[in-house]
Amino acid sequence: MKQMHVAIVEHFKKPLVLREWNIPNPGAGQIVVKTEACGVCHTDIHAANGDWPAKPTLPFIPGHEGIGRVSAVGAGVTAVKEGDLVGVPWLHTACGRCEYCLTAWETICPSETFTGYNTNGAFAEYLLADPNYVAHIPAGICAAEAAPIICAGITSYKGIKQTEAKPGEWLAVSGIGGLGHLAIQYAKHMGLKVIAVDIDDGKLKLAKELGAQATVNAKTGDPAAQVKKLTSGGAHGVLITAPSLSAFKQGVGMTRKHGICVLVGIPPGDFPVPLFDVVADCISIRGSFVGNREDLAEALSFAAEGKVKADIELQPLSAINEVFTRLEHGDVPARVVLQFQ
Amino acid sequence: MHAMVLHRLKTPLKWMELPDRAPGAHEIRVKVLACGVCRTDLHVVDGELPNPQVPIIPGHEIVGRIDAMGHGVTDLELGERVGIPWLGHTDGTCPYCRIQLENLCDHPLFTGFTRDGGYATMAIADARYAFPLGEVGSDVATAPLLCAGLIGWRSLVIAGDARKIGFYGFGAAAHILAQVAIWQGRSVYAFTRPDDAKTQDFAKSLGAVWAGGSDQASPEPLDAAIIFAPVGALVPAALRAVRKGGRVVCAGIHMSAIPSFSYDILWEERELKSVANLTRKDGLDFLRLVPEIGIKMKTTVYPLRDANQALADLRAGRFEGAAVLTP
Repeated sequence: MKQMHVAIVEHFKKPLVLREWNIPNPGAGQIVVKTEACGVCHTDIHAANGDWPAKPTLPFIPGHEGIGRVSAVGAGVTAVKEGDLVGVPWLHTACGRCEYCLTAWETICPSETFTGYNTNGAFAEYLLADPNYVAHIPAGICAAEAAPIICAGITSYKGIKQTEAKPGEWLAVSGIGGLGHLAIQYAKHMGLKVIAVDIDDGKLKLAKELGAQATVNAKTGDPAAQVKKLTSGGAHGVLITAPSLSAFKQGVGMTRKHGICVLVGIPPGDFPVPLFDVVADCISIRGSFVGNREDLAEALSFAAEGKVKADIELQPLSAINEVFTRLEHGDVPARVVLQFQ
Repeated sequence: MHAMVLHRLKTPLKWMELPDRAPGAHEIRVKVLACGVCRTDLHVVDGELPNPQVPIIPGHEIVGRIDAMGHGVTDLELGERVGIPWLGHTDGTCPYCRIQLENLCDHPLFTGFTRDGGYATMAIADARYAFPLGEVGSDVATAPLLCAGLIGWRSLVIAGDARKIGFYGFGAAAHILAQVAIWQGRSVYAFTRPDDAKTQDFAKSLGAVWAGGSDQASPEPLDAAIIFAPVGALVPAALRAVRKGGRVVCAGIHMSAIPSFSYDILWEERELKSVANLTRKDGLDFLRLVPEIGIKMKTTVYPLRDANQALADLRAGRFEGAAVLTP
């Protein structure tokens, strides 16, 4: 059996182990992708720590922003061919038949599996994928640039769509990190006016450079009141990407009457909802989780047209444990991408 | 197995003995219990649909019992009663499949048109597109639900929240949909062939508030109309029947040429829309409601070998409701 280099989780809360592993063979209906780049997402740290209910089975290989070329196809595969540049996203596969799959909500299929969580991911030179669920990488974007788009990009793009904000209306983006800095760029090209909220003046400066019309530092004063003032009544759509409970509470407060506040960050815990305001102002609070395959295609096409670009730092696979440590301390640019030779 | 096979367009089907085939990956083989006869089958035989394929076994309203399963079939069991509809396969990845419009898939297969159907003693289908039917309802009464019922359902959904709804052409689909619409609390207006008093009485017996000829004006402005008959001249007639902002839905897969009409019957925000094929979601939604609605199916049963007679009777409008073949 031929071997490849991987970074694998053998024990929760321990450094990943760099070792050799068997290169997978595609079964019927499967493909093998030779990884060229893979983004590192905070979810990978949660997976490696076993932070969430339904923990992954050890050992497993994380990584759900893998981009590479199809190197082998199993029997019966028609959706892709050898040599195609594809992405293997978080949604590894779904049943294709349940009420959610049949209404373009495959991301909440009860039988779905997740790349780099309960199926081996792309912190490896090769990985298995389901050809019906891979991203097709358009011309005009390289593997390293595409990597953050298939998770951070699609999550922020779909989240914006779920706010139902229309061109000319205000979108508040709370948290200008990996997701937020992409959300500003998507929103700008969707015709929305962006107001960026963060607690770091450096990030707010970046938000301005990326096209935000206004910024609010949540540390100084009441951010909800400031957003309401700057937008004459609140943002039509609010997208909360910050992994902080206070950001959630503030986010509801900055939503315009009849507006929609969409949550995409998942900090542990609960947050109180000001019931009177939500009811009397007819505010909707909505969760949004990655996006479907059409969202993926759309999110990638914005990037391929040069309208959306992730701020990335390249690292080799062997640096994964240092990257995890830095990511936990917030000491990285928007996205670190592992580059494979 | 035996089947009625279309060898050449516009020629009668031929009774043939064919070798049994084993189901492939993701396929089931069923023993056919009943297969409805749909107007689309006439369009198939007449070569009126794009890219016809022969030889072909028509029939896409199949009720069957699974007698063999290929590799990879997970949600169905041997001996289970299933329905096999018109939508036989989609690619699952094209831009239409990705946005809940698998009825418009770029690479579909259609039962009884581009893959063999149910005018036969046995049929093979892609398991992922078959509907579990349970054991409630007779085979003969269930078969017409699988296309007349389903496409009718999709048309009704697309017609919107119309309270007053007109049906142009009162055959298999309309007689099912009239019952669905009345169950939903709507008022049904039935437009039949001119002077077809028998069908008008049939429509009234099912609860239509009004029935008349399609050459008659609607007794009051309708919120929406669905055209089931393949007659283009009904389009301007239906546009005249709907109110401002009303909607006309063309439910058929084929229609004769629509005569030109004055813009003023479309103006005032009237809408005209067609319906193509079905999605599996339509099937799940509709079949879940069927037991609650208690649809009384009017059927005329023909032995499989008499499929040509059933098609001829359909063409001539010689029966009420739906024709069903039994092996």
